[in-house]
Amino acid sequence: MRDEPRARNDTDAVAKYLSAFESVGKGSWQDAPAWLADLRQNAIRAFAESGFPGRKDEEWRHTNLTPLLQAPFVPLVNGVTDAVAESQIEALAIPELWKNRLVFVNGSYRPALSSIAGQGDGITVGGLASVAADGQPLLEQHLARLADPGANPLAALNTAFAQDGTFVHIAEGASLEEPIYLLYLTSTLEDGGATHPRNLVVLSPHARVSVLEHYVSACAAAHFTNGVTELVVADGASLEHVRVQDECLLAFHVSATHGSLGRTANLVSYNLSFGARFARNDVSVALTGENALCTLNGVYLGTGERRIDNHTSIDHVEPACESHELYRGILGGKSRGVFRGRILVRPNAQKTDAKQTNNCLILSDEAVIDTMPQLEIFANDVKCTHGATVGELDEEAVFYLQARGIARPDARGMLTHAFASEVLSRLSNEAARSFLETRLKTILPQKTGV
Amino acid sequence: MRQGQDAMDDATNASSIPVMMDDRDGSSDDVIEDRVQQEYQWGWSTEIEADLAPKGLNENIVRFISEKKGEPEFMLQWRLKAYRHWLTMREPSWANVKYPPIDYQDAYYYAAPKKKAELQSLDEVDPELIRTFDKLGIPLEEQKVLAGVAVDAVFDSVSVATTFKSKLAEMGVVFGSFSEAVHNHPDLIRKYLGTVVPYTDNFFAALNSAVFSDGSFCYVPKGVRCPMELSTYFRINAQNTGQFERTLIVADEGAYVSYLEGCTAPMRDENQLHAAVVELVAMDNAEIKYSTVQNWYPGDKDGKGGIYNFVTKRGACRGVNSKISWTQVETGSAITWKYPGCILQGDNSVGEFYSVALTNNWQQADTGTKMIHLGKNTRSTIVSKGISAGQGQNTYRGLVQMMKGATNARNFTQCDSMLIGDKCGAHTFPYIEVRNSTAQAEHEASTSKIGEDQIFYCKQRGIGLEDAVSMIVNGFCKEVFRELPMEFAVEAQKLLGVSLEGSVG
Repeated sequence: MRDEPRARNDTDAVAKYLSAFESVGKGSWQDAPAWLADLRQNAIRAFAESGFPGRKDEEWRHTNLTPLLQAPFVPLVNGVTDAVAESQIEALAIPELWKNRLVFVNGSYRPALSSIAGQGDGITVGGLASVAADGQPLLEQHLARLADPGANPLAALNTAFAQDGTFVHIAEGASLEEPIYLLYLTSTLEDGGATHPRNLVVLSPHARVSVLEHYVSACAAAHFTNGVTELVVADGASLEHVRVQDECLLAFHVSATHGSLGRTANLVSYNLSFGARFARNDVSVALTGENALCTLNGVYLGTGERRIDNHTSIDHVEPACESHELYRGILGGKSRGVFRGRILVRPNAQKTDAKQTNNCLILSDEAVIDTMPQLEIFANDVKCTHGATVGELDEEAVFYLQARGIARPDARGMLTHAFASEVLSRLSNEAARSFLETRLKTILPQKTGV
Repeated sequence: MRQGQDAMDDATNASSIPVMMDDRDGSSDDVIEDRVQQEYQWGWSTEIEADLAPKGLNENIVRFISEKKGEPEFMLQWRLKAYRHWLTMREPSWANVKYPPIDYQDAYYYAAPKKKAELQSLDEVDPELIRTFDKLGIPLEEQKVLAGVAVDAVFDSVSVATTFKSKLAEMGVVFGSFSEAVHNHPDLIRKYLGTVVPYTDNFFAALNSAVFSDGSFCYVPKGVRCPMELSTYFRINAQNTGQFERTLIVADEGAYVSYLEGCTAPMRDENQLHAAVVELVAMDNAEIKYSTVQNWYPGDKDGKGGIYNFVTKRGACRGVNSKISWTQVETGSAITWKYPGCILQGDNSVGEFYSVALTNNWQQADTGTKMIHLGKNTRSTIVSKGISAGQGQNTYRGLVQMMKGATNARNFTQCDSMLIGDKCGAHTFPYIEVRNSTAQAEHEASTSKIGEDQIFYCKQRGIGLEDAVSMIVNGFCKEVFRELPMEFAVEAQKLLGVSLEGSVG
C-alpha cells in the first residue's frame, strides 16, 4: 500500500501496550546484555510507529484483529503464575517425548520441570534468557535477524515483551536423535494474560535435529500467546520443525516462524492449528543457498466461531531450490479460515521447483474460507505450480463406504479424519504422530450429518 | 477437468528438461534480434481536424461534453454526480504495475472528428478515415459483404459510420453509438446505465462516468437471436486525448448476442490514458458473448510511450439460465489493468472468462476476472494464459466468490504462465472466498518456459525457429482461441505472432 496511512482505530490498544512495556516489559531480563535492551527498545519503537496492522495492509486484510484489540493483554510476569502441578503438566504433554523437554509456564522457563538428555557434544539447549545472560554470541548474531520487527508489528511486540523462550544450537555435524520437545503452557484463572515466547534454533553446517513446539493451556480463560520462532539452517543441515497449537477455545494465538536455509539445507515444517478462538500463523522461509529443500505442511481445524489464518511465504533467492507445500483445512460451525501462500522466485533462482497445494473442506453452510495462493515469478527456467480446492466431501467416496455397510455419518466422519490425517502421516516421529492422530480424532466430529 | 489436467501435464513436461540459456545457435539469435527490433507495424497518425475541449478537467468540462453531445438533463446530472464522487476518490495503487503519476489536468477530455451531416452510406464518410481503416486492414465495404459484420467505427470517441443498421432494426435489435441511444432510447439508457458498474465502483469507472465521450449501445429484445456478430473498432487518434468509451449491452429474455471489440492504435510518444467501462446485462435465458482483441500501442522497445489501459468490464447474469462469456486477447498497451467479471445472480447462470495476455519489452499487464456467485447452481470457468517476454510483467489477479445463497455453485480456474527470457515476470494472485459448504472451487496454476525439447522437435522436422515458437505459443493459447469467433481467431493468432515471435528463451 503506497502512501496509504495505517488504520488508526487501534490507538487505545497501542497505548495500552506501550504503557505495559514501561511498567512490565522493561523489568524482565534485568541482567540482559546491552544489545538486547537496545533491540527491545527499537522493537517497541517500531511498534509505536506502526500500530496494529489494519485492513489496509494487504497481508492483514483478511485478518480481523478487532477482538484481540478489544481487551488489553498484559504480559504474565514472573512470579505471578498460578501453581501448576507437575502431574497436570504431564497430562497435557506428549508422554513419549517427555525425556527431552523444556517446559515453559506462562512464558517463563521452568528448569526444574525440564530435562535434556545428551547436552554437550555440540548440542546446546536452554532457556533463551539465561543463554543471553551467559553472553552466547550466536544469540546476538541471529536474534531478530529473520523476524524483522519493522515488518510485522506483532513480531515487534514479541521482541519487546518476550520474557523467555528456547535456544537450540546444534554444532557442525552434530545431531540429536530424539526430538527436542518444547511445552508452552499457559495457566491463568483471569482473562487478559499474555505470553510472548521467543525461540531461536541455529543449526551449523550438516547438523540435524527435530524440534516440536507444543502450545497448550491448562485453563479456560482468554489469554494471548504471541510467539516468534527463528530457524537458521546452515549448509547441509536438516531440521524438522513441528508446531502444535492446541490451546483452549478462549485463547488468542499469533505466531510467526521465520526460516533461512543454506546450500542443500533441508527444512520440514508442520504447522498444526487445533485450538484457540483466534489463530494467525505466519511461516516465512528464505531459500538462500543452492539446492535447498523446504517442505511446509499444515493442518487447521475450525469449529464453533473460531478464526484460523495461515500465511506462508517461500522466497526462492538462489537457484535450484525446491519447495513443497501442503496445507489442509477443515472448517465447520461458523468458523472462518484464511490461507495465503506466497511463492516468490527471484531473477537469480533459475531451476526452481515449487509446488503449493491448499485444500479446504467445508462442513457447514456458515463456515467461510478465503484462500489466496500466489506466485510471483521473475525467473524463466522454473517449474512452479499451485493448486487450491474448496468444497465438501467427495460424494462418490461417501457412497463407496456406504455401499460397504458404513452408515453415512460414520463414512463422512472417516473421510474427514482421513483428509487431515494425510498431512500428519508425513511426520517422522512415530510417537508424536500417534499422539496427534488421537488429538485429531477427539477434535473432529466422529460422525458428521447430512 | 480432464482438459485442465492435460494442459497442466504438458506445461509441466515442457519445463522438465532444463536447458541453459546460451545453448542456442547463433543464427536463431539473429532472427530473434530482427524480430525484437521490429517496429510497431501499424504505427502512424492520421491528420483529421479534431474538435477539442480545453485541456483539464472540471465541472465545466463535464458540462461542455454533455452539452456538445446535446444530452438530456438526466445524463448531465449523472455525469456531475460521478465527477463529484471521483473528486473524493484516490487512484488505486494495489495493482502490480508501475507508472509515473498521471496528471489528470494535463489531458483533453473531448475530441471529436468534425461534425458532418448525417451519413447514409460509406461514400459520405471522410475518405481520410476510410484510408485509415484500409491501413488497419478493415475495409468497411469488404467487411460488410464478406463477413456480414455490422461495424460501428468509433473514431476518436464519436461514431461516424454505422452500417447494417436497417437489417438489425428489422429484428428489433438496437445497435449504435451511445450518443444516439441517449437520444433515441433514453428510457433504456436510464434503466440500465450504471447498474452493473456504478460510478462509485472505482476511480477509473468514476472518471469514465463523468467524461465518457461515446461508445456503443446494444439492446437485443426478448427472444431475438442477433443474426450477426456485432463489432466495433476503436481507435485512439488525436494527440493527448484520453479515451473514455462506454459500452452497454443488454440481452433481454431469451436473447443472444455476440459482440466483438478490436483495436489497433497509432504510434505515440506520450502515454495515453484509456479508461473504458463496459456493462453487460443478461436477463432470463439470455446469452452474451463478448470478445476482445486489444493491440494498442505498447510503447517502444525501451518502454517509452504506450497506452495506459485501465478498463472496468463487468457483466450481470440477472436472469435464470443466463450466460456471459468474456474472451480476451491482450497483446498491446504499455499497461493493462482489466478484470472483466460476472455477477452470477440468476439461478443456473454461467460465467466464463478466457484470456490470453501477452507482455513483451516493458509492457505490464495486471488482468484477471471476478466471478461473484450469488444464485443456486451457478457455474464459472476461468482459463487464463499469460505470456511474458522481454522485460514484460504479467499478473493474473482473480476473485472467485461463492456467497451464502450459491448452493451447488462450481468454479474451475486454470491459469498458466509462460516465461520467455530471463528478465520477465509472471505472477498469480487468485482470491477464493467461499461462504457455502456445497460450493466447490478449484484452482490450478502453473508456470513454465518453452521447452527446448519442443523447439528441437519442430526444428528437426524442418520448422524454423520462429514458426516453432509461434506454433508452441499458439498451442499454449489454443483453449482460449477456440472460444473466439472465427474472424477474430485468425487475427489473434497473427497478433501473437507479430508481438511475440523471436523472443525465444
